[in-house]
Amino acid sequence: MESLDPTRPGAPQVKERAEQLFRDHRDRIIRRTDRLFASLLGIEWLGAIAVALIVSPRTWAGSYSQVHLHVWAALVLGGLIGSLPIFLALQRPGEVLTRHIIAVAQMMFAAFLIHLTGGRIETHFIVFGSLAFLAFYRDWRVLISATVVVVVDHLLRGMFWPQSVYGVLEASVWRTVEHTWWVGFENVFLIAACRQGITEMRRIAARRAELEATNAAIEQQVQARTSELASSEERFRKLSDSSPVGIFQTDSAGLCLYTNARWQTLTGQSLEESLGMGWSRALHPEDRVRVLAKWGACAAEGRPYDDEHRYLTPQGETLWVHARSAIVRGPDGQITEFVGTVEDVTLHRHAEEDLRSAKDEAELATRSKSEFLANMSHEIRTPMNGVIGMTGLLLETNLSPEQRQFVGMLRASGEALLTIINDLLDFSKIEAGKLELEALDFDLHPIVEEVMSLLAEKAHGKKLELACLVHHEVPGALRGDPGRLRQILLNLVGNAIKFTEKGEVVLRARLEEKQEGAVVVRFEVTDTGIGIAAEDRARLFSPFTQADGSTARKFGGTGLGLAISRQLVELMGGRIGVESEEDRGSTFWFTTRLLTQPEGVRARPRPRENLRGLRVLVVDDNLTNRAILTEQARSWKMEVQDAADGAGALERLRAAAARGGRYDLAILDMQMPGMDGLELGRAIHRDALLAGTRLVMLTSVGLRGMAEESRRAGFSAFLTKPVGQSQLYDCLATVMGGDTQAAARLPLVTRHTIKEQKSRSQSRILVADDNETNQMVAVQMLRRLGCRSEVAANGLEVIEALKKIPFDAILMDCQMPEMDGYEATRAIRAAEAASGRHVPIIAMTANAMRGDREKCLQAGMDDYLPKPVKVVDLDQALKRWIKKGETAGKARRTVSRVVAGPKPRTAKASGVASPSETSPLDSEIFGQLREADRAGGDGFLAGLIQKYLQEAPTRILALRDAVARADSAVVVKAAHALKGSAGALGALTMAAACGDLETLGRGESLAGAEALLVRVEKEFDLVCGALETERAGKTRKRKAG
Amino acid sequence: MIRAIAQRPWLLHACAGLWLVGVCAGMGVLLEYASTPGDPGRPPSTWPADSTIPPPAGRPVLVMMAHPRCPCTRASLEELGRLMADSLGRLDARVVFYAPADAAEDWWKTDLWTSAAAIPGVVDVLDRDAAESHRFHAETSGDVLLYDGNGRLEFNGGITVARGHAGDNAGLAAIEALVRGDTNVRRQTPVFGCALNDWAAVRTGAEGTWNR
Repeated sequence: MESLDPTRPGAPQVKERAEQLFRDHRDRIIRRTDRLFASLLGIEWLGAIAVALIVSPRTWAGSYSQVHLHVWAALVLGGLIGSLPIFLALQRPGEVLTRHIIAVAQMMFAAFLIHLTGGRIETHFIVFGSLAFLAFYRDWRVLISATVVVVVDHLLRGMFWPQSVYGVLEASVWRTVEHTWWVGFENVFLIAACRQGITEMRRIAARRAELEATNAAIEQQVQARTSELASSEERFRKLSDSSPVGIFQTDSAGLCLYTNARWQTLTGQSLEESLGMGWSRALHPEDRVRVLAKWGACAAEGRPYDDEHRYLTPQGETLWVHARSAIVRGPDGQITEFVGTVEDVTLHRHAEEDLRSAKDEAELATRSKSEFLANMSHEIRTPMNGVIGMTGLLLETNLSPEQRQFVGMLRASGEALLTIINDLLDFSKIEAGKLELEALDFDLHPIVEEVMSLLAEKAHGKKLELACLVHHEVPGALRGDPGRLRQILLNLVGNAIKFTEKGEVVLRARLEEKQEGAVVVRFEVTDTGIGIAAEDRARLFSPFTQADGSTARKFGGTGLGLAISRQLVELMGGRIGVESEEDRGSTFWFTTRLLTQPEGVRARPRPRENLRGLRVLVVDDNLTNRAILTEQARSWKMEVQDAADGAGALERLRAAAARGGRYDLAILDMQMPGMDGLELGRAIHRDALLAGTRLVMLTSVGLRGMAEESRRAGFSAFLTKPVGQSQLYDCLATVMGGDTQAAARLPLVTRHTIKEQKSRSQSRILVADDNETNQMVAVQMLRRLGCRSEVAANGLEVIEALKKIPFDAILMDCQMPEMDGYEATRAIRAAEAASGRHVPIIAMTANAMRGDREKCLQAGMDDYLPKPVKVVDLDQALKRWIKKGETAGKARRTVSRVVAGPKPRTAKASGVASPSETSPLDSEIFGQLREADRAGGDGFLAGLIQKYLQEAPTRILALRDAVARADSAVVVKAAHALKGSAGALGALTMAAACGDLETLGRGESLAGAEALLVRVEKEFDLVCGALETERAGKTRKRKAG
Repeated sequence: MIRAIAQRPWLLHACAGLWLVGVCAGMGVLLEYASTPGDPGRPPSTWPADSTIPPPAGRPVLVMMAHPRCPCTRASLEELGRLMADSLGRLDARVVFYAPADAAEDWWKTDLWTSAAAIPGVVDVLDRDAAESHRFHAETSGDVLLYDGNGRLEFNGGITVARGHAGDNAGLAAIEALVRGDTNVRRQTPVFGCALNDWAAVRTGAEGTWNR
């Protein structure tokens, strides 16, 4: 019997199988019944023989007898009756013919047995019994065959021997019906039973077929799952065997169930040896207790295991391994097993140890490098500080001009050398990775201005325009390293000036990005120089490289500036780059991330007016430095003493305090043998007797964090050598300004804060003049007076500038295009009516006519200065209208001292013809320009002359053209401009001629303009000559320096 | 040959047909034998005077001739029992059992003798060497002679429908009717049973098949 093929589709297949099962079942029943009847018929045959032998063995005739016919009939007829059905039952069981023959034979046997028993009614039951037996076939047709035999038997008997059926010769119909009824009655039930049986068989077959189908499906799934499981297991086994890490498996109690080949190789154990707790024998004896304890705890608590420990192989080799385990849980969440890996980390461990050793060595080397750099920095800067400091002191003495010149050159060379040394030291720090930044509060504007100021002379000497613009969005209060920022700007602007022959150099700063607590500022230095070839740009920021080798010979330089700048920019969290076009110019740019000061620029107390009488102790192991500082302090009328080391300093301090004459201030050098400046400062600060002494740190080693460390140690100021005298003065004045308690809470004073303070203490003046020459002169004068300034070219710009900056005063020219000074003043006053503010407006005008002052006052201006403006007049006017800090007083006092008694210089000394009646330039005015130029040191006068010599001829041509066209308006405008610039330079005669021409132009007629024009041109020639002479003299001086 | 028959349906069916015919034929032979009566004899119309069996004295007397070993007579005795049950007190019955002259008791005192003696109103009579059957001229076992109370023969024949077959039959019905006084009945029926005389076997001439 074939099983159900699970791949065949569902219901029809099951139905087919059910039918097959039913047929098989029925066939078995039929065959079984065939065999049963075969046996029964055989038994019946034997029974017939027995009955015959018992009932009628012999027939008699008197005393004679013979075998009864019944016996022969039983033997023969009985055998015949049983022969065919038995034969069919054995040879062709289950066939239709077989069972029907059996049915006929069975009924025949019934009739035969009934006959043999003499028709006994009891024997008739064999008929019903036979029918019932035939129902075993569950085939109602068989019953029909059997019934047909009975019916035919009755019919034939009825026909031929009726008395054998009913015992009478005439058969009763009712008796026939009665006989038929009983047979039919039984048949009905038997047939019903057969059909019921068939139905049950079919149902059973159907169920079995379904069960087979289900079993087949389940079997298929089981086979599939078994196959998958086998594949999975095989896959796992292959992975496990080929894995480069050891794999283990334990039960929930932590007993090993499996280890893979790699684990066995690592430990030298076989699988059998590793089972249970056998794996623990592979542990290194020194680790065994710990590992077993940890493993036991993890297994008990159901935690993953993760640990490094050692194995000891049978060969005595020690291996470091990293063992990890993961938890496997069953469906109920209970832990069923642990699986894990063991990885050989011996090499890794060794590598770690090697790395650790290398790291220690590297750190040691780094420390050595740092110490070397610190020492070198100290050893180099200290004597340089001495050289520069001494030259500073020397300059304060009375020197002849020649001596002053020599000392100035000496100082400049020293500063230049110090710059190169600083570059080399910085480069060394780069190489050592020790270049670090400070984190100091500072204002960006003074930094930029200082850079411009320092490089202005160079720029103007090459007749270059030098300008800067700090966008208003860039906040002023920042935190970063202002010194390094200045260094970068000096490098870039200096390079731009160096490589530009004509045109301009412009520095711009704008806000690129605003972040939380920080800003990213983008600086751009644009020049109109020689440009850089594309192939050279890549090497620019590498050390010791310039655009090409010839550049170094032509322009000089160490080639470190840009490399250092790049490093600094990157340390500041920014980027640096260049955009350039050969022969057109370049733009060097960089970005830097600077923190914003959360509290704004912290206010500091007003610096001390002077240092007279203050007691100061100078502590420095270097004799020269002590001498410089001591001399500087004495020049400020301070009571000064010195000490060569920390111990000596403490001794002096304590002794003075004990006597009641505590030192007010101590200036300590950082680098000292034994006790350095920081330790000394801490010692002083800790000593209650000495805690009131304010401390200033001077160091030649600007390491990061040292300023903050100094502040924590109790220092009030931190300066990096070389320290300028004025810088030191300002620092001491600031430190000593305010009481001791206030001083303890104040931010650290640094050179940056000093500059900012000076910057904030300076008045901010707006110069409104359409004439650029006048602007430059005014700005320079204001700078000399210690004021900061902005410029505006007309009234509209004045009003706009006032919206952004709260100026302390405005120097307003009355004659300006678009909006003149009067109108601008009226507009300003109208706006102030609402705000309640009042900015002093001082008129600067060439109009010296009667009533002009009143006109200015009527417009709302506060004061009046006639052009050309004198510094002393300007100073007095500013003093009248501006109330500022007294730090500006020093600058003013200096100016006043210089301006009040200018000593005429001899031609021999100066190399320039002195102003006299023959000079077209007024000596006083031109003299103050010279002084301004000398004081500023930024090439102001040369630039001024350059500008005038460029613009004046153009204006004269325009004037001539206007006279020729009789264009009064243009005549007035050109003449006014010429008058202003000539007056600013002190060319008063020319200014007067221009003034006459201007007056003529304002009249109804230009008659006589030509003659005045000739006068103007003649005076201009004289002025040009004098200016050229002045410029030539300055050039010779520069070349000589 | 058997396999050949088994593997050839047509042959099989032919054998089945023959078989059926044979069986029917056999059954027919049996039926024919069963329905073949014995010699009815010529019983006297009056009670033989030399019979040792007491004659009827006012009541009918039924005399059945029986071979003690005849299987067919068992059915006759069964019918006699039924008859006597219905006719008890109105009829006397005598079953005359043949026995050879030299036969021992175990030869003639069979279950038939016992069964007959057990029937109420029936008296077994041993008929040595068929003397009485000769006086009454009975030839076949199971032959029933009914004499009325005056000794006149009323009925002669068997009281089974066939050899060895008990059940309703014309002879029994006739005797019951005669006992009730109904005279319009059959007076003779076939007798199914073994011969009472030796010479019946001799007469058939099948001496090889008879045994004594």
